[in-house]
Amino acid sequence: MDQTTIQAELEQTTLPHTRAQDAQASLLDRIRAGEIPKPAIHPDVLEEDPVVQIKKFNLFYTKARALFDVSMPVPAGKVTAIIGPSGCGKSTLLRSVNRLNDLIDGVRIEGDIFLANRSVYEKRVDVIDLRKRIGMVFQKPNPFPMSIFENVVYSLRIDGERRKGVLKDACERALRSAALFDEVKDRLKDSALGLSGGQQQRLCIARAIVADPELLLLDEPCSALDPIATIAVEELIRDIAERYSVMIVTHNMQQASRVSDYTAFMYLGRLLEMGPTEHLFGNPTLRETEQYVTGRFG
Amino acid sequence: MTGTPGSVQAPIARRAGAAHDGGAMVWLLALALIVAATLIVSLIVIITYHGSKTFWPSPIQHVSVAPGEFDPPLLGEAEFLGIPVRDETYEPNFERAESLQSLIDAGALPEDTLEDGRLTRRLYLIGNRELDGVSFRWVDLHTIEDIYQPENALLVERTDWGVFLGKPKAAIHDGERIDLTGPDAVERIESLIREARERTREIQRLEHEKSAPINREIKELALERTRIGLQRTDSAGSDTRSLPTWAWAVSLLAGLGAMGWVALSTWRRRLSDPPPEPRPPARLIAVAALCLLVLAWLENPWANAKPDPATIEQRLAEIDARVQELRERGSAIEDEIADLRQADADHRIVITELKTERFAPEEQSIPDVPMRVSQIVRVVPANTLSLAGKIGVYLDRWGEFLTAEPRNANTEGGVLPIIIGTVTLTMLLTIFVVPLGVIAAIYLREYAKQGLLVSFIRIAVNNLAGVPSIVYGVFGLGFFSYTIGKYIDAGPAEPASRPAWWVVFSAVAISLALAVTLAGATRDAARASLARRAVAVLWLAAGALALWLIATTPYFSGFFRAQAELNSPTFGTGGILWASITLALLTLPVVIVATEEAIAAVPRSMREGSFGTGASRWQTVRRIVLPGALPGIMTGAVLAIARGAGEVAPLMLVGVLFFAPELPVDGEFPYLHAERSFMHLGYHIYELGFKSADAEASRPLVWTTTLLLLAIVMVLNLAAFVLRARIRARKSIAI
Ligand SMILES: Nc1ncnc2c1ncn2[C@@H]1O[C@H](COP(=O)(O)OP(=O)(O)O)[C@@H](O)[C@H]1O
Ligand SMILES: [Mg+2]
Repeated sequence: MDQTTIQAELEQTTLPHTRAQDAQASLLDRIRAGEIPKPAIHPDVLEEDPVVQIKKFNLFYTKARALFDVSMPVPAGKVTAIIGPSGCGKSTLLRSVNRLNDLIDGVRIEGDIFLANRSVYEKRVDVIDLRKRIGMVFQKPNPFPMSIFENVVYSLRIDGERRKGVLKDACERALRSAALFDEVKDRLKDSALGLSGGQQQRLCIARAIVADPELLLLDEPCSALDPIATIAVEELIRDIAERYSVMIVTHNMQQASRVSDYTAFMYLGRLLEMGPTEHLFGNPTLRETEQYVTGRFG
Repeated sequence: MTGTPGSVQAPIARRAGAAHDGGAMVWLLALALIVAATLIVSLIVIITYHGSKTFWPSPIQHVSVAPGEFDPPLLGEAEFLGIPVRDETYEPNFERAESLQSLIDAGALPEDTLEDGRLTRRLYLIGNRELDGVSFRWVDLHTIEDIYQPENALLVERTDWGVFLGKPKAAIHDGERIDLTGPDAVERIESLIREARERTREIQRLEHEKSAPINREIKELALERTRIGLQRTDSAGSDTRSLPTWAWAVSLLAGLGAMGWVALSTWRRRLSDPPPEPRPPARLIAVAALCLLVLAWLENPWANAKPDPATIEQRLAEIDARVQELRERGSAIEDEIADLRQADADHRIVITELKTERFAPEEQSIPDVPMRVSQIVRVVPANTLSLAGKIGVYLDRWGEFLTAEPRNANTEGGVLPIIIGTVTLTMLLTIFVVPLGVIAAIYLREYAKQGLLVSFIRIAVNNLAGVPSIVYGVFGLGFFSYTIGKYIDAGPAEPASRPAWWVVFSAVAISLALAVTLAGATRDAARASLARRAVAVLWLAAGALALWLIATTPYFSGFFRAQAELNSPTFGTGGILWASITLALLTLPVVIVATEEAIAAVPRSMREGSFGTGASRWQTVRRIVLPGALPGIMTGAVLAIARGAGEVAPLMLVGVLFFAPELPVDGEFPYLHAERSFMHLGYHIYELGFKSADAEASRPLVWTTTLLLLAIVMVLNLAAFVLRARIRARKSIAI
């Protein structure tokens, strides 16, 4: 592809609202036709210290391309939400940060992602070590078929930690951070599969933060939970955000506006817009973003 | 979102419809289930019934037979003692039917003698085979005049010649006759038997503790003699000479020096930060050094040192002297044993037939010498036994069956060695098949790139399950016994010449070094796929050549060459090791398929969760996948073991025997003798039922042995079932 022509077209598409209506209306159509627009990133985002820098990142599954030249920073110590219609590549982007996509046969990438200014995809990176520095929580609660205690200290165990005292302290700390300790403190030896869905998800969060990760990735952590459990987990995310940088994928706009500091909007594998959450939901730069957050498409 | 409720509803509606108009199908399925269940239950019931009644003491009948319509009428005595076995009808030949019919018409025989032209006859166990030549007898029911159960009738179970039916007469001790016709005869005989048992035990102890070690040492010395003889011819015949000392020292020094240099430079590089890329020549040098060291080790100056004739002569003389000494000691012990036997022969017992004075002799060839007390295993006064007494005999016989060695050419007595053989074989099979199958399945499912090759391997494995088991037997014999076994025994049949061997050795080393170097280079090279292919070819070539190296090495001439030379191969014939490996191969597909399925059933989300916390693939497999798949793996393992435990056909080719003189496990170092032949319940059943000289006599034992085999397999299954349930409960896995 000819880079310069695309660049020129991008210039055109990212013109502010003053442009004629018809030129704007065709943006989604042009994306569907294969165009990669330049994302509208709010200046506030760029002022923040980034924990993660995604640069011109592309990802190809065997049959299809899932990410198109995604470039965005993820501010440190803040909650960054990624929203977008189903299948737009949110999960794929999240799983690219801790290289979980490596496990899928036939995945190919271009571009790079930096965690704390060091490349994630560089040849000599130890993937295991990388994943240890990043906690991840999945859409469906996936506690391991073992005791609650063993679940929480799993990542310490695989690191070879054997001292009972250390494990116990870490377990308690993580469970307290996950606001679960009081509920399970008497049955740490019981199977984790006996917990309710909300408790299981908070357990997974405890498991993800037990080793003090630099970054926490949450992939629609509430989508399998009932409303009350959802509120509990959302509160938890707000609490955790004081200590960790968080990337959270959600297709629930209310949730994004409740928990996040910054929000990124994706569409068909492209990043369209990113900015402070109140800006993106209140007064977005792109008309498409506004249409999406007010529920007019997607 | 909107589609979800509809798509849930639709299948429910469809299912309800199917149940409604699928009534006939449901009945058909139920019928099939009932048929299958009936077959299985009746199989178990029949085997259990026949198997468990074998040891129940039946009454002994005194039967008087009328001459009947024949003239001369009878085979055998007109009166005899017998235990009824079963009745059956048969069609008499034409003349006989005619004459019987005329007798019936004349009113001399009851109307129902002939039913539809068929006669009824009864099979009696009459024992006393050494006297009559047969131990069973058919009697036409209508010819029986009288049946009663004499009180003094005695069933005598003996170490040889089967059972004897008769009555006690007298005991003979030092030529003195002690009357045994009184009412306490049975108790006295039993105390005599107990004494005799003590004497037998003493004889066995002497044989086992004194005689056997001497014989073993003599055998070993004979082997050493053969070995020395072989060594002589070897060194006389071979013209190759080992390296001269100076060449040896140089290659040793060069090898060590090169390795030291590589190690030192590696260590230095490790210290410098950042570490530079490893340099390929280092690997080449290391490989070359390794070659030199192997050369130095194999070709050491004393490798083919000619044995000194004087020392050989001296050693041979020593051996001869020692053998002489052992022989003398052995014959002293033999004398001792003979004395004991003599003493034992002073205790005899006279048990006669009911009406004649013929008694049970010591040997068929000496009918005028009554048998020794020690030849009796058990006496059963079947007609006077109380219920408690009968139960006692029943349990005693079961006890003997399960804990004693077989006697009377394996057709009576216990099956303990056979149980031991079966259990050992099954355990070895488990040890081989479970780890191998599980590792293969883990590799196929978790590590291998899912592609054409893996699919092909999977199909091949599945098809292996359908190969007839005798094919595995042939393979086991041809490959394990005759190829690998022979190699272990006597080394390569046609060793290569040393220079040729070394040329190939260097080729292997070079291709390995190249492969490793190329594999290191492919990471950044654009021609990655070409290089990968080259690496694969190099590995294959190195592997094939390495096999050739092992198969033709001139440096190995077998661990048991002397035995092979004496025509009693150790591993070069069937044995429990080869049998268990053959069965492991046979049952491998079952384990692989079951394990693969169990592994695939572990949810993907579990794996991702584990990887997400930074677990490596192996840690994930070990901590998440394997525990989750454990119940399924166990099921597969048990299926495999149950199948292997009942398999007979391949064993017949790779080492099972009807009578193996030595057990595969015993108290002697190394406790497990992997090269020995063994006995097996399945094969035992086959031999007893179909090869035995007296099929009628061994039939009850066939049933009981079958019951035992069935019980063992069932207990195995049950144990695994319980274990699986426990694991599942403990892990509370909801897969
Ligand atoms: N393992 C996979 N193999 C092939 N295509 C995939 C795979 N996972 C996701 N995709 C495709 O990639 C696109 C993005 O998926 P995903 O990142 O899961 O979207 P989201 O999380 O935003 O719903 C979708 O079109 C999906 O079909
Ligand atoms: Mg998703």
